[in-house]
Amino acid sequence: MSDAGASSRTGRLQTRLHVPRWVWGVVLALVVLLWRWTEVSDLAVTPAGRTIALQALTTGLLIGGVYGLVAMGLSLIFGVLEIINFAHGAFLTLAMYLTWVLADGVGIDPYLTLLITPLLMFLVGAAVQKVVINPAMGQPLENQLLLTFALSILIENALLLAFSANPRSVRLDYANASIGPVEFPLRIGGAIIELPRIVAFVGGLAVAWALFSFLNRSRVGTAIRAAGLNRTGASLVGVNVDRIQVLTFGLGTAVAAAAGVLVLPFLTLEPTTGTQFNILSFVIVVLGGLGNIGGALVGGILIGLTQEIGGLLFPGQSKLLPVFIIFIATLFLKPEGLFGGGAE
Amino acid sequence: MRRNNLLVLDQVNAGYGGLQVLHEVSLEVEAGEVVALVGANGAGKTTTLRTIAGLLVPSAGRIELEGESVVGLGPHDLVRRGVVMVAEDRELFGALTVYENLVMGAFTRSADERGESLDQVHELFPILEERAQQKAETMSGGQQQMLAIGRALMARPRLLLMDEPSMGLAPKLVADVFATIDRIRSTGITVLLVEQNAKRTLETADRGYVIESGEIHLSGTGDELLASDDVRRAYLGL
Ligand SMILES: Nc1ncnc2c1ncn2[C@@H]1O[C@H](COP(=O)(O)OP(=O)(O)OP(=O)(O)O)[C@@H](O)[C@H]1O
Ligand SMILES: [Mg+2]
Repeated sequence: MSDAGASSRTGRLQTRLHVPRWVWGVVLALVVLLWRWTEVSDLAVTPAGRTIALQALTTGLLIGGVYGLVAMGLSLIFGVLEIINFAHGAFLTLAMYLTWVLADGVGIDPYLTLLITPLLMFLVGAAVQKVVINPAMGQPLENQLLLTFALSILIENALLLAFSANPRSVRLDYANASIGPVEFPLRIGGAIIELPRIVAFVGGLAVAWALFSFLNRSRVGTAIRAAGLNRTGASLVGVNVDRIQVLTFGLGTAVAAAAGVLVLPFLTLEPTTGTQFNILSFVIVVLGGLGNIGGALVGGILIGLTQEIGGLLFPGQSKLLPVFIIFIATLFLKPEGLFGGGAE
Repeated sequence: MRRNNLLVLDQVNAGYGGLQVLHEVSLEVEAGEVVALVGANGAGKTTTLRTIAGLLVPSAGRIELEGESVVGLGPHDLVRRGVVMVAEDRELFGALTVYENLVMGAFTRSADERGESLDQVHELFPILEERAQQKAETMSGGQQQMLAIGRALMARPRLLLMDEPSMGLAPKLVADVFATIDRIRSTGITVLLVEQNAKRTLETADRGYVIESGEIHLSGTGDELLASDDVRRAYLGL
């Protein structure tokens, strides 16, 4: 006697990008704060102050797009499987090492591995869901948390064993090239914008767009949305929910992997590199609303900006401080996420 | 076993975890029939339907669809084979619009078939066309029930399993639901109907089964059951 398992918990997967007007208000407020900073801080009188402010703004925006992408993967997994995958960041690290091996060892251009690494990580994610996560699907939330946490430790230590703690990086020969009249790194008002950061932002948005289209237009995407809204309902219209869960975990992991590939050219890689992404994407997913994919993208950009601009406003503190202040405030004031729970 | 049996349950045991609810349940549904399954609260009606729909796997016994075993198939497989359930709690996609819910109902169907079914469902329930853009969760209980039936019809079932479609509806709407069942029958869809409203159900059904504590207690034509003393005493309060 066994229950075929479709729980009837009603999910809240939301797969449309919807930017509430207040988001622009927040962005504006951040910019105003920044402007004020240039006027009150010691540096303000010098042109260097404005440059630093502009640098924070661009760096925050560009990295925020990538944060958003990572969080979209995590939110997707939560929306469909209702598990919080604490190994999301570790998968991202694993993807970065994969790309590092392909680039440094095999000699493939790091950006070309966008065609390889996410695909392999999709398979890894799908396999992990099938073998490790799925047996725990009916279990209490704590068990699932512990399980994915253990998984992340396992991955980190395996990477440590395989690659040691030595920091790794990939080199882009063309990072300082010029395309037509545009010279990289870009200089805008004294701020320096490196090519890899621009590629990461644009690439991140492109992958995000592809994910939105896939979820909202394709047949499998339709099945994913159905499963993310009502598992029993989905199975009653003919969706193979078990298979969709495997697929979704793979897809969420592949999205994190794509983000890993995109950031590798401007980060140094260690077995714990993914930890910060893990924490941030957790914060972003709560901020954007659990299971709200569009909210994750917008939330990612907001957190990127908050982190960099906050870093200026609270000098000497961890950049995570302002992020956590926002996180805790959200949990208290609007635990359903800033983007208004179910309403679109 | 009669030859044109669409569905056969033979000595089926099923339940939840360690709790066995169904004890050797046997029943047959012929193609084209409306068969009723009546019984008190907790008798195992929903459990029976969930087992047929593949949401529960029987621990013993046979379930055959047109002579082929379907034990172990998931609900999605059964939908593809034409067995579609209107669940007791409807299981709609609350955050989606009425239209989107209907489209989801045709998940296993081609775009052409979907368009055709959509016209038919709109004809059966005009409100679903009027309210196409309304979110399912904001519809009234009766409207949601129509949507649940409509969504199930979008899958083009051969066997429609209906779990208490009249539950919680005003008398006028209950009459509508039974009229709907008649119309569904007239399109050639076989119906296995679970209801509390035994009198009305047995009047509508060709045949019926009475389930008690997970066991089939009585069976017969609707009229026979309506006339039986047991049924009159237990379910009709006569
Ligand atoms: N998910 C479940 N887990 C454990 N026991 C369950 C579950 N669902 C139903 N049961 C038990 O199985 C028995 C039969 O329940 P079932 O829902 O099949 O009854 P029913 O005939 O549909 O009743 P009702 O008319 O109230 O809908 C009941 O004793 C019930 O408590
Ligand atoms: Mg019931």
